Amino acid sequence: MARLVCNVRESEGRENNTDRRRDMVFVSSPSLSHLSSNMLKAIVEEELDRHWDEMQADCLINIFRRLALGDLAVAVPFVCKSWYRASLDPSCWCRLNFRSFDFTPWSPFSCAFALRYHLHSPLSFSAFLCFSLHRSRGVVDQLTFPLSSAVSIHNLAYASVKCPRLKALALPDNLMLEDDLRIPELVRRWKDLEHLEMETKPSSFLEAVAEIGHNCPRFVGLKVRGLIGREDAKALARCLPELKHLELSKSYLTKDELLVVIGGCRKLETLTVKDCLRFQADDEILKLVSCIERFEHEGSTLLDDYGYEIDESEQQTGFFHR
Amino acid sequence: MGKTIKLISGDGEMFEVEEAVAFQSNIIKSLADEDNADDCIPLPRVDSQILSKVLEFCRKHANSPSVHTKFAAIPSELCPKHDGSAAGASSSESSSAHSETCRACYDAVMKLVQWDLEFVKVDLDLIHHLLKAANYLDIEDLMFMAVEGAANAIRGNNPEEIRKLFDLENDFTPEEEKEILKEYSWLDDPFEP
Repeated sequence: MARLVCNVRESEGRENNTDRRRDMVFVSSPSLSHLSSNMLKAIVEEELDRHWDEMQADCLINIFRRLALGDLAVAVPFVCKSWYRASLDPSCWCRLNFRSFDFTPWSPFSCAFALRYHLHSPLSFSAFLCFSLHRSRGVVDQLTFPLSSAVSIHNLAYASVKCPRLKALALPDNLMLEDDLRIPELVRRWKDLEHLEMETKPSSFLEAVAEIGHNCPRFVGLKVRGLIGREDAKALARCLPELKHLELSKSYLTKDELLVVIGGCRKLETLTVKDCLRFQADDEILKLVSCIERFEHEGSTLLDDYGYEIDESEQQTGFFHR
Repeated sequence: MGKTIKLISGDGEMFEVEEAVAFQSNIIKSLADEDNADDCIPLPRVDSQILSKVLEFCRKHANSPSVHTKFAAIPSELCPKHDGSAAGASSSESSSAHSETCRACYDAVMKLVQWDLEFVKVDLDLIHHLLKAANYLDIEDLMFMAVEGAANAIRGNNPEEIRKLFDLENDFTPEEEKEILKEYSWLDDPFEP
């Protein structure tokens, strides 16, 4: 039986240390002595067959594409050489979601990254953005900026240069006013843009929508939250008539504005206006949205939590908290 | 039972299954379509233990739309360790699928995805075999879930833990590691355009 094991191994031509260790286990293990030679051969072949280090690069890349950036940057490249090489493939880096990371200087992630890459200071968002964009080699198609952290206009500008083929973008939410005003100019560079998400409506919203209308022929989906006034609704209707997906949840939105949008965006397939203030889905609205495949309006009411209608002065502030 | 297909595993065991189940595999489907088909298809590279797991998966998926190739975002959102991507989750390609818009179909799809996630909560040996079988038999949904199972084993673990799980050796020499890290020394002073 021992000879059989060795013969099988030789015919496979495997040389590495792991196999030799396994050989010794097989030969010496008393529990296997009762097995027939055929069964033993089957076991040995099974063992030979299960090595992940033989996994082809394509398959590894397929697996790595599912991983969040943290795992991809800090763990995977340091497992072994074949994994390192596969992790360099740009397609692993085409969907960059920075939203789940804590980039405060002494966060576990910043420190783990600095440790792994032998850096002299904790990782900043800028550095990680540069790292990820470098790995992507220009093929990024989805980019989600973090919220409530210091993302500067430089990061956005850098991304607009390094990700020319971007299809889906989620902007950061607390840009300073002068940076916010530059959004339209940046959006202009992303000609393949299909989806845009804005956690808060920027001051440059009208200009941004106009730029998208002019420069992004494939644009189909918008998500924005804020005070949607008459001019905003008209801009959506006028500049984005081909829009298929619109989400305005948690916004301040009256029935008039909603009707303007529905009237202009005739290609809508999904319209999500949940938890909005200042409109309620009445029969007229429901009739007009009947051609829209999915219309979600749960939680939207005319009144605020205290049962009072919002007065004009509150309308002007543009703040809406739920 | 409707029309059935007979499959012979690598170790000689016969499995008889309905066409709808077997045809989840594009390879089996094209082999069965050939004129000389005597509806007995040998699969020498898949043994009976793996084939029975594969067929269990196919049976569950036999009458559902292909979930995973259309709903690429969904499994990640359900995974507790991974945040689904915020942007582009409802991409234009999935919007035309009926199950996106019909609530009942959508719920059925979510249930199936949950079942799939449980199905791949198995040891990595089995995942490795499922991956190879899914590739060999060209079963898209199984491929997708086997990849997800492998990704799940990686998530949140450090390299040493990953090596243990996947039975891999650290084949970096210290010099090679140094070379790699040298490439990233610019991170200490990142380019701020």
